Amino acid sequence: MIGRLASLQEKLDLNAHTKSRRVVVTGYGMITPIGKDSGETFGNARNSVSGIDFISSFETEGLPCRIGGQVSDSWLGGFQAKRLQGIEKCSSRGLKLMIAATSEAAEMARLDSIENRAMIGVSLGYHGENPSVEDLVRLYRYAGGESWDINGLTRDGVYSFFNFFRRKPDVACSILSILFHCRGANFTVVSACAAGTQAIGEALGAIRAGKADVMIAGGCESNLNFMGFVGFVLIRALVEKYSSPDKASRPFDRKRNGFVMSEGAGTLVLESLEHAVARNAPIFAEVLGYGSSADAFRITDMHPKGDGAVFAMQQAIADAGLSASDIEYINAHGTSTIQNDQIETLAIKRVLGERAKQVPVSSNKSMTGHTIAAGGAIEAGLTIMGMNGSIVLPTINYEFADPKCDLDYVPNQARQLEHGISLSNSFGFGGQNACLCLGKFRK
Amino acid sequence: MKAGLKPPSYPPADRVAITGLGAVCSLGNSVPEIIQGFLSGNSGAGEITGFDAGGFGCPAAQVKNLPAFKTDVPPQLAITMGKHLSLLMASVDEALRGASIDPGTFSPGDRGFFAGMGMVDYHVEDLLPAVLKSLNRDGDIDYDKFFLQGYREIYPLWPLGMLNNVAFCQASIHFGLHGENGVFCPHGDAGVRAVFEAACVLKEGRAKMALAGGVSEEISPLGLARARIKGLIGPPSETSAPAPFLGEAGAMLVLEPFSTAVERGASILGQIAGFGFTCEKSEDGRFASRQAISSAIRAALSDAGLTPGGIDLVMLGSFDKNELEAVHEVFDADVSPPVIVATAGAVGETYAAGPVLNAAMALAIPGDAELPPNFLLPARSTGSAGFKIGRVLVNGISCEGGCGSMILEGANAG
Repeated sequence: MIGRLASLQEKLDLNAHTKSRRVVVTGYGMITPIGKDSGETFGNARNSVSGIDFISSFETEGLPCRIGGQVSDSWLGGFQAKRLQGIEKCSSRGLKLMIAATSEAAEMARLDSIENRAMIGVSLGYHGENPSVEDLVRLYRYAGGESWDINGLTRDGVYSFFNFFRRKPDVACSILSILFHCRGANFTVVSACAAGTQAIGEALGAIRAGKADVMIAGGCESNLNFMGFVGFVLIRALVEKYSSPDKASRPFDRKRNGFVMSEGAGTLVLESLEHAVARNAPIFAEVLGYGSSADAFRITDMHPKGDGAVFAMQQAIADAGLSASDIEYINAHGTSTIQNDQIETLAIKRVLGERAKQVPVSSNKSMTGHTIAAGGAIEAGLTIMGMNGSIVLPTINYEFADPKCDLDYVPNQARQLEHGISLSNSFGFGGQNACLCLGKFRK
Repeated sequence: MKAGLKPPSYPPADRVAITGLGAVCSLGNSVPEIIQGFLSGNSGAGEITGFDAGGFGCPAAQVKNLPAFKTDVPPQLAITMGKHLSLLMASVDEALRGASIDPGTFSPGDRGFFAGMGMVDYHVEDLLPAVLKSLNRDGDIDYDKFFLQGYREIYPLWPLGMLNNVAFCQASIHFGLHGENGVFCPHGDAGVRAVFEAACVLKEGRAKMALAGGVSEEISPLGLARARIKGLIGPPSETSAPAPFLGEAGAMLVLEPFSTAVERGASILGQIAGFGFTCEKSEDGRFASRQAISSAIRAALSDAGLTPGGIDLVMLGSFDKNELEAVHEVFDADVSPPVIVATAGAVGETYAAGPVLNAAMALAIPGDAELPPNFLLPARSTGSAGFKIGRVLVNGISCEGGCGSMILEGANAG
């Protein structure tokens, strides 16, 4: 063990010399169906609490899936009045979730104390707000004929400026930069379910390249509205068979049959090590490596052998200067779809080889559901908390073994386990894959 | 190329070469066609075709007669991906061919791909049948009917029309691009970001080649309405003054580590010199602030180890006065300020494609060319003798405040 640690430290030291800047995490925040902040989310996840219930935010009668992971409106209430004010109308629900998560992370990182705001950037994974049913009705009135009545459509009170801009993903990123006084690099990543992880990976690159000292990075999404939800219903991606809502999200279980749509947001504050040390900021973890890839196989299907997932994990490990034998935990994408969980299992086996069954792999989505662009950021935060607390979060609802999913999924109960090097996977619709290699902070 | 400049300060090991260019826009379906149209002083603006845009009363610079690409995409899905896919495929194809890269040149995992993708929109025709199915006798929607039955008329794959990465992933499939990747959206800064990320993965050795570029929005009713509401394009003008207009484009660069490009005997068309990024909205909320734009330019100059005097040509990324004022703020003190070109007057506001299209054009303009006076600011003749484009500054700016500036060195740089 001592020999292995020495070897690991040597690799990390070597990598630190080859990278221009080490990047650490000085704050994190989240809002999820199981918690209004990171502490509550982690505590509930540790206790195997599911956040999935019948949807109350819109009428679901007649739909084959009627459940989701909702964030309580009461967790957003007071905050809206205080911070959003004049720009609230431009702010989608996804952005409001992100503001909540970012407020927690910014406070933890003491971002307000940084004077040079030009070197603080924002990297956000987000896809904008869906049109509402009312939008469709307006579009029918003003665009249902042979030509568009643009004057009628844009007249005040009919179809406003704000409807269009809640739809536009980069508006959210811009509003975040205003609210948190960030005048540095600002970009929006739109790679579906991989977007949150990619946003963190791109932020890592911006700091390494010296384009920022600090980056607010993460993702948010809210598809729990009729139009957002029904899109996934119609392509039959959502779970349709479940005995009760809390049993519906069951990654790697033989009876899994689709994912549960959820909403949420997650934020990490990334910072160059020297900047963090100079201002005496708290350091919770180090982002050791990042990898991305494209399946380049088929828009609607993953590569059957998981080539893209394998490559993204290998790239992240290599970027960290480590080898597969150093990985101690994997926070899986684990969506609870038949295809993803089987192929991700195969991919992990290809990356870890003979050690695959010895390394714990778990899916936070068993408790939170799938928060799309937010997923990678929330899971990165939970991974960091798990490393610091020596806790591996469980995969709940694991009851029936699937012979094609035969790893250690940390079934149903959290596990006490010292671990310092983790991977966090996200695989996006269309075949974009992303993986972060996160490490407990070592000086 | 201005005389007496120091060589760039960045180390040779970090140099990223540009070995291929691809672009389509209203001026042409390839880089040579675009250059020919641009140098002739042409504008691609014209009457909007494809849908009845009479209610908008504005022109646009649409791409027409794009080459068809055979893919295995089901026809309805191809419609959902829309023109995004065609614009992207055409520019990637030209860039790869220009760089003499075929499927065997690099292993699939060594091929990176980064793009800024302009806004994509759901297709109204995918959704309206659900409303029509749910109308009552008075022509108003019956919500009970809609929620119980009408919604089933929605085209199942309509959400894909709202995902900017779908066309990107299809291009990855078609061209076998399996390596590091990223998709950003939707304005000019996203195009610059794509080039920056590609350069980073090459410098870090995480890919041996990377495509980087951008694609505009498709000219569509929703896009025009959004631009109108935002003030990017005006209402029908009663004056003859030129008004901003939207354009369609795709543009792509092939980037390689300098050493790789030399080793395989690739033609080096230019190299990346520096980047700068900032974000701040202007007070009226319509664009980036002048301060943010000038800060991004200065950061790019610093990154490249240059002073303002080192830039020969500035390619503006927008129609907005804040950008022009920021450029003047940075460069006017120089004894020999750069030539300033506003290509948007020729190709329109092309969002994420804009800065990469400008980069491709700057690198492809022949060394002895006379730039078209109608697109110079102030309008003037550069003269055909002695003007060599060495170092070029290209801006990509978002009306939400994001600014990206990049500096490229052309083959004429010393």
